Amino acid sequence: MFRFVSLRVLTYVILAFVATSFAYLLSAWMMHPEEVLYPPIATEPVPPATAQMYLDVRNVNPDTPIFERYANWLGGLVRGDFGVTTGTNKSMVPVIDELATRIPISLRLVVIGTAIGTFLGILFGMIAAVRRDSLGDRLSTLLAFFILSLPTPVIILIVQQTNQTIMDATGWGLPAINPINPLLEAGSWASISYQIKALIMPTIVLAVTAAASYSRYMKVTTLDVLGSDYLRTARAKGLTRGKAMNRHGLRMALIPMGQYFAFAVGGAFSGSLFVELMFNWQGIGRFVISAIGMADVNGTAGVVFYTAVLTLLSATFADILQGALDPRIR
Amino acid sequence: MSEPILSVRDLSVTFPSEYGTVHAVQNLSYEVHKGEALAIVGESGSGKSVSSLAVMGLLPRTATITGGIEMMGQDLFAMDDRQLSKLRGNTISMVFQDPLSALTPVFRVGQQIAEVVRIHHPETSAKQAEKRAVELLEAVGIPEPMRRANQYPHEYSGGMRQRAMIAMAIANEPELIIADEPTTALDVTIQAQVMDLLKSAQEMIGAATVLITHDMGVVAGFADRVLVMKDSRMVELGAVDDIFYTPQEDYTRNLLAAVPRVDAGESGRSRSVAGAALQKLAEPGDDGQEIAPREERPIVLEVEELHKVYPITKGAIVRRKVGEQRAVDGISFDIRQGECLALVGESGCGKTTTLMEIMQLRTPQQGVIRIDGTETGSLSRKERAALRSDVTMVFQDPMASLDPRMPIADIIKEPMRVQGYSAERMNERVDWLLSMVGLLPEHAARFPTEFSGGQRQRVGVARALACDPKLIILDEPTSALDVTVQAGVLAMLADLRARLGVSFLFVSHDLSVVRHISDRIAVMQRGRIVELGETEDVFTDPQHPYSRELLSAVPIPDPEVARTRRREAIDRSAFDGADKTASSPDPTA
Repeated sequence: MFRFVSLRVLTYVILAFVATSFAYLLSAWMMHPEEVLYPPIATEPVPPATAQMYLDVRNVNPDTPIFERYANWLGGLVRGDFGVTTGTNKSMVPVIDELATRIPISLRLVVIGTAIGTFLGILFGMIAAVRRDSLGDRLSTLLAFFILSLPTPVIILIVQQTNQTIMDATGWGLPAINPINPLLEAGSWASISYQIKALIMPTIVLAVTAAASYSRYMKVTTLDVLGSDYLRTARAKGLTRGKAMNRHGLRMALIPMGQYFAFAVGGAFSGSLFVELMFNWQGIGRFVISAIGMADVNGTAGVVFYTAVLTLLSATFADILQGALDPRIR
Repeated sequence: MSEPILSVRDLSVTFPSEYGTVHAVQNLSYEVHKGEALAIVGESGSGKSVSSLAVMGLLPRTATITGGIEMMGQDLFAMDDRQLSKLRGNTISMVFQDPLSALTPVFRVGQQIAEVVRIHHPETSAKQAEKRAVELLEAVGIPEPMRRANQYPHEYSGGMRQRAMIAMAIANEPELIIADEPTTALDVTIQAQVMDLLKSAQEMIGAATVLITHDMGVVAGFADRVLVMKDSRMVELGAVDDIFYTPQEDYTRNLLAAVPRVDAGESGRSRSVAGAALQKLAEPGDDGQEIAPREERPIVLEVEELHKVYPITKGAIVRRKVGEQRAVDGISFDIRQGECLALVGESGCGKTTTLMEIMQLRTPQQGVIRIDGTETGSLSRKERAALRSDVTMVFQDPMASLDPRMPIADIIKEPMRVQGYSAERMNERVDWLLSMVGLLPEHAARFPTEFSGGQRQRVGVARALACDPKLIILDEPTSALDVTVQAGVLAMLADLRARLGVSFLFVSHDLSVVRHISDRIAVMQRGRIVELGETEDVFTDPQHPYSRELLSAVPIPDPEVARTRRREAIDRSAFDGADKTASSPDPTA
């Protein structure tokens, strides 16, 4: 077991390293933060020595060969230093600090949204399969395709507009944007309850999109299970339809779902990009969009590192889940 | 006669389908009495499985069922799922066809057997139920039942899983056991063991049994009465001796006549009708042509000391060899012109690996393969391609081995096109080939899905014949076919061999089929040929103990003979002891 885990971890370290290296090399090659040194409106050119120093300290000097910059960056990475933000952001904040403040904001959104979405998807998918061709099945299928066919921003707008309409009618509603209210005293109950309320709408959006795709997968795997011989055996043993499904069918249907889970986290991350933008959350998604937009090489590579780790962790989680569900692969 | 345990009256089952209503069972009536074994036989699609699922109340909800089923005086149709669940597994239990998929893969076998005890005896503690499961496993002959009960189904072999299924079926001492093709998926020696076990188990707990099967040999040794079904209707119902010795209906007679018999040579003495249609196959062709003795005919295929070893590796990054699987372990045989050599053995004995080694036309790992005197290892790419027309293959599954998107003519032409035949010649040959295999030239434009299984296998044979091969390798060509269809295909193959002088390498697990078609027979076990000789010699006087075991396991479609061969298979003492714990109402017992 130890061997297995250590081998796994080693593979993951290599994979994360490769993914991040590619991201760094690609962004260092494509992005040109030096160009923003000479904005067209500048009246006087920056002195060359100043410019060189400016670029060197950020490790984005185009005169330094790309692999030397990469080696510099790797050296920092080993020490846990992701470099500083570059591009138009001249404040030189360490990327690690940016990530540290933003990851918790995004992660709670992604984790809660995925968990609720997975649960709902499995529930609806199973019901749809067991009651195949019933009104409930058709409605949930229709709804799932409706949600899947809408771009995430449209879903966000629908949720926000619904909230606004209720607020207009009753005077009570959820906070429209922002994860926290800076006017409230930090740590007070009012602040915490605001944070919880603010979490609801973004979570709904993520959960609904996750549930829509999950319910489709779950319906298919459950239909497979429903036609299986072992479920018939379970029924022949004297279990009623429902009990046979719960005891024997559900676990078998969940086994293939474990693999989808690994991808779902990646999906939730990209879903959270829009959610963070449109709900004005200062999360990691928002950060990566602005980092790419303003040619922030170090910031982009840092976010890719984070998503790589996230994906690998969720893949591990999926593997553990599968091992727990299925004795054949243990 | 005692009161019937199960009485089925005028049962009809229909399913809605895209092509209108499908009548799966029509007007079926039968009774099963206490302790009696009734066999329901019929070919695929005759409705035998559906009728028994109707008894269990396990048909899909789309099915429409009419008629009446009474189980010990209770009308099953008047019950809802909850009430039926009380009967299932307790009063009626069922053993299914495919033991590989009938057990839930994620639960331990012991747990699954304990479950059936606890469903119907909720007062039994989990521990007692587990203990009972171990006893049941022991009773059905699973070695080391304590350890085995904690294993998962995938750690069991097919035969052991079917034993576990039987343990489950007899756990609550049901009044009726329905066994739906319980041995179809098993090797012949395992089949014999499982059928003996089922019979002993049934006799011991005094349960009535309904055996559903297509295998007349199994029926002869097991049933008291036989019900023959065809196209969703009952054809004939009678005592097993009457059915086998004096069948009343033509269909029953034809069905029996098509059954291949392993005791073909002696069947003159048997009163059973079985095997009559295949008798003439076994006799040498007397079409006036004098066949040269075997030694004078040229050798078509020669295999010398063939080895194929698969390494068993371990480790994800650095692969190291931890052992080896000797799939083919030094076998030698030859096939002469116009000869049919049968390669028989149970699953995993290396038959298919041998075929693949021959069909590759490459240098084997170790040993020599010569086709028509040419060593396959010495061939250039071009010669190898040309040689492909000399050695062709007919596959096991006629459904999967024909491209569903190609018309029959194109399928048959494909090998000729590869060999560069002219379009005109190909068209001529397609007509000729189709008539050779008993199809009509008009069939050429049709697609495989428009044919039945037997017809498709004929197309497969026509494709194999397309380029005048010297040798056709037949990989279980009839195992996917119904018995009457199988008889037809076998007759066609025997006819082709006599007329075209082509040689066959006939691979099969079914000894009785092989007896009717082969000249010589090679018995394979664990990668080795343990016996090779004239078919008649091997059947009448097998030398190797494994050949004897195989032969004695093949069911004989003659009730009298079959009865003398039955063996005791259940461990009664283990079961009696277990009995008290389970059936005792006192949970402290």
